[in-house]
Amino acid sequence: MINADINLKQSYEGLQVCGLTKVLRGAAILNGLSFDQPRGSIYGIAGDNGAGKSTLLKIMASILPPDGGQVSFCGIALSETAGWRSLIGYVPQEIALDDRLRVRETIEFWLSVRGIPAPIRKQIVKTAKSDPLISDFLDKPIRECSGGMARRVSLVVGLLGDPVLLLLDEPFAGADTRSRTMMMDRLRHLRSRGRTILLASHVEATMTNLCDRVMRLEDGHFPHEE
Amino acid sequence: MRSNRYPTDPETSPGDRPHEGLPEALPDADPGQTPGEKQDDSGRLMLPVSFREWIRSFFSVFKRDFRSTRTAFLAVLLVFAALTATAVPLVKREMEKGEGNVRPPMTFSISIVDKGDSYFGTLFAKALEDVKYLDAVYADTFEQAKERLDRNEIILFFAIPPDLFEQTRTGSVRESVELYLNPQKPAEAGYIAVLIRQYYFAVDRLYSAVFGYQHQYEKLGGEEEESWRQATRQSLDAISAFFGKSRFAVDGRSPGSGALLHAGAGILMLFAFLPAMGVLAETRRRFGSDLENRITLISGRAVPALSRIVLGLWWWVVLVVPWLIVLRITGILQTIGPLTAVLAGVYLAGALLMLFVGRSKASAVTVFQTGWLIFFALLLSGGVLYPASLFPAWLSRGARLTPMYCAMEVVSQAMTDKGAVPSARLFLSFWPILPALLLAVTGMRRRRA
Repeated sequence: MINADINLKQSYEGLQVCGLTKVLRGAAILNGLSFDQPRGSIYGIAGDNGAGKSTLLKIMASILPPDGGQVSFCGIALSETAGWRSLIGYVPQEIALDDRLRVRETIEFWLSVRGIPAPIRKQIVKTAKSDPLISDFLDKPIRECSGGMARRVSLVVGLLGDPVLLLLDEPFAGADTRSRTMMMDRLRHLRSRGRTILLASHVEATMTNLCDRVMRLEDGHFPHEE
Repeated sequence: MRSNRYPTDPETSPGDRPHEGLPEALPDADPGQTPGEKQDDSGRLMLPVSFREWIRSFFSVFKRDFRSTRTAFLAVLLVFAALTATAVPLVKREMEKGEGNVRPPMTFSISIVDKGDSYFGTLFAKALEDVKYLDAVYADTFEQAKERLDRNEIILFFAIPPDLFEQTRTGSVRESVELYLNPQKPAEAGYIAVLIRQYYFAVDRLYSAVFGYQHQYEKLGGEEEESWRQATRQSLDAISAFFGKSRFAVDGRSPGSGALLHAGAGILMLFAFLPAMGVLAETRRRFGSDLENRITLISGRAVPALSRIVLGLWWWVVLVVPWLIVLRITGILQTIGPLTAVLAGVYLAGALLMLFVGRSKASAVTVFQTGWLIFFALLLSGGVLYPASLFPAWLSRGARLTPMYCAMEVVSQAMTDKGAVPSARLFLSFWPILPALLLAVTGMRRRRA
């Protein structure tokens, strides 16, 4: 357990991960992982399948508890679950959408899960007509969407609420070149607006093109970053 | 720290922004501002915080869950509505048929073999004519009665010795009345035999008292033969009054109606608990899935859990309420309030328990096997499948401590007493809800990799 002797820099304006550890079924998945990421940047986590990328993002999304270490963003710690969750947007590895709903209904559903009243929901859904990521197929059921379309919808759902810290797990998996380009454009735009984005993928070429920094996860830590 | 700010002015749309649409549709947070710090009203969309927002969040998740089972739900609703509509007139017709000539649920025929063709035998047969649960009383010879017994026409027959009347007059009975039971119906015959033995002791005392008075009357100079006849009639009237008591036959204390009521109570308990297994299935299917994680991150753990419980409650309504209405309309229950509360409690405790089981980290197969094992163990130990009173003594004592026992007792009693249940027993039946709630809260804290 690495926690008590690690002090985060309280004044740091960005994402800080210090000595993060996670053991699953007796195996150390994350082994004292540390890195800093400034606000308004895109960092990529590369690694082979099973390297622990998804586990790292799930911990950072507060889905899984860490076994040790600390994570904070602009002074707010991961352990303050409610406060932390109000900062993050999480796009999971799976599409994780109800495939019976149309794209328009999907947006409305996730807005209502956030407790948004109906008139404002309708207004926001109306603006979705001009969103290049989804405007072409708003009335299509998710089950009829291609892999790339579904990925775009999943990203848009993750962006609802305009989170300041975005955690994306394999966001381009199954997406065609056009979808990938559109999604990357959107992420670059979000970076320009000061959003902090951490994404995991096993395709390093895509990340090199997009990210300010790519870190390779091996044996539960970043050997080339320490 | 938590905030939930959405545009108060719906007209605030970013039509002229570089990337029109989402998330630019939502006004930006100032990148220079500390995240979580309160911003102005046009700040970011966040998580549901107020009660109204939480309710809105809950209903959206519930609506989605309901939609996934809508077809099955409507199909079951239609089937049950049809069954209910069929059952009500059928039961009512049967009950109307029986009005004014209420027949007990279990009736028997018997034979009397009066070897001496005595006055006592004639009186005895006449007295038994009015007993409600006797279809017929035959006056037979021994051979005839035995043939009837072999043909399964009668449940038993008495053989009255030829000089019984004379023996009773002298007060020294040497030859006893013989009782022959139907071997093809050992349970019913045995039950009747036990009753007859119980009545015998009462009658014996009564008869002794009557003859004691008669003896005094005779000493005082009354007409001897007539006084004995009158005394015997008086005794047998008293016997028939005992046998004719309607409590045994009509109020459902006979084995036949008892079994029916227990089966009815058991079916209600089964239907009440069954939706909890749906909660288990849905909880296990979603546990650790990315969709569930996404919902949990936004609305918290309680919303999906509560949605499942409420969905199960809908199923409970479809499975249980029609039968309660049938029981009420047909008059078997005069009130359904207490029974409804108990059965809802059974569901709630079961659903909370299954929330705990469903969020186990074991494999899906193990979780489902465990869930069904718990389901049947609770039904069995609570006396739902088989009356707990018939368990061995040690097991019966243990069964009293199991979660379903109190509820089953209350439901059985309500079925017997037209729906009435003592308040204390009613509240006692809710005790499993509290430990189940604690387990559910523990289970909801589990997270899965």
